[in-house]
Amino acid sequence: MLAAAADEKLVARALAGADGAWTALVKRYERRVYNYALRMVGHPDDALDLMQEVFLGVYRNLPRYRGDGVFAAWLFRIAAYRCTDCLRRRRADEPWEDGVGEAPAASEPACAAASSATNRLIIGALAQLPEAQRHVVELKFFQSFTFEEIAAQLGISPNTAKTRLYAALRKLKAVEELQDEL
Amino acid sequence: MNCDEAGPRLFDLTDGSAGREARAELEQHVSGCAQCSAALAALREWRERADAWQDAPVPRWRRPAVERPAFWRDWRQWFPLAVSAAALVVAGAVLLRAPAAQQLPLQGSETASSPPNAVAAQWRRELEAGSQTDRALLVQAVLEASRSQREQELAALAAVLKGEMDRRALETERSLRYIVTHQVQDERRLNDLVHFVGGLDHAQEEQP
Repeated sequence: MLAAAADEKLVARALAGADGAWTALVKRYERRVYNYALRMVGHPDDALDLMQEVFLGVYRNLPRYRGDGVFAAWLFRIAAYRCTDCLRRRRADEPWEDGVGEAPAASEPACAAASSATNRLIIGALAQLPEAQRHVVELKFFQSFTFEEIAAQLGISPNTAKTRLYAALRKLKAVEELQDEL
Repeated sequence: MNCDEAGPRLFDLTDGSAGREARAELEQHVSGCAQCSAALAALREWRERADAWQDAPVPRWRRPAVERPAFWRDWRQWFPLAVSAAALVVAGAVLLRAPAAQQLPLQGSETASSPPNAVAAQWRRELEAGSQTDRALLVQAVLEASRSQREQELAALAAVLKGEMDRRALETERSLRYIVTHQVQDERRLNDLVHFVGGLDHAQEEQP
């Protein structure tokens, strides 16, 4: 609650033209957004691009932020839009072959960027999920949003968010069992 | 309970939001369902994994710089200035006009400031001949006369408007009365016609 209040103040000051307030706002969220992007797109370069796009989107839309919700939820709504755009562009750039539309597997540079084995495992597993399910897993487990907040961010119902999470968990478990067998 | 019902509610089991009965029901389903059991295990694993995620440091990047809002957009900056400027202009206009109004009858020449009637000429003569107090009184009298004239004009205008409104109200009333009267007459004729037709039917039935 205190963090949200501080966010509101920073937003108000940034809107009034205070460069320091905007920088503070960005610094407060850049690590969270970058790691979100890293898990969602799986590649550090793409993650950095995505993070920049997110903050650019936040900056452009800041005058439209009405302050009627948690700033973080509003920011991650923009992040979700930008992430979808980013993944769509990447799919369009990829050669047309079998399996198109599936999430790309984590690439080597991504694994190199992930500093621990757990990070590599998470990025690799999330890459197996369709984008819609990956979003719900990310927002629920890593951003700790409620199902209502996730639903608002993704423009779906809370029940759909729960159903997507259930489907994602089943798929993640199945993939792990398959990898164990191999 | 089947998987479609239990699956989306698995999270309720782990965060304690399920009631006692719902919890028992969910647990009973999960214990007998391989899919939901696996999903619940995955849910617990991914909670632990999320906690174990080590944040990667953010590479150096150029943050978007703040542009100061355009001057005209931030009303808090320009509004006080605009109000001050407007007040200055009004005050200046009042100060400039006040002496001119006082001096006009005193300094005016025949061509520039003389009213085109005999009363005005008389006022001017009285002004030139009278004392300062007389002049002030005369100016006041002229102003009051002007005010009185405007009041008369406004009263006349109001009377014309009232007359027009009365005339239109009367016309509307006449129109309504005309419509109602004709409707009543039409209804009466219609009733007569119905009676007439009814009489004809009755006469036909009586004939062998």
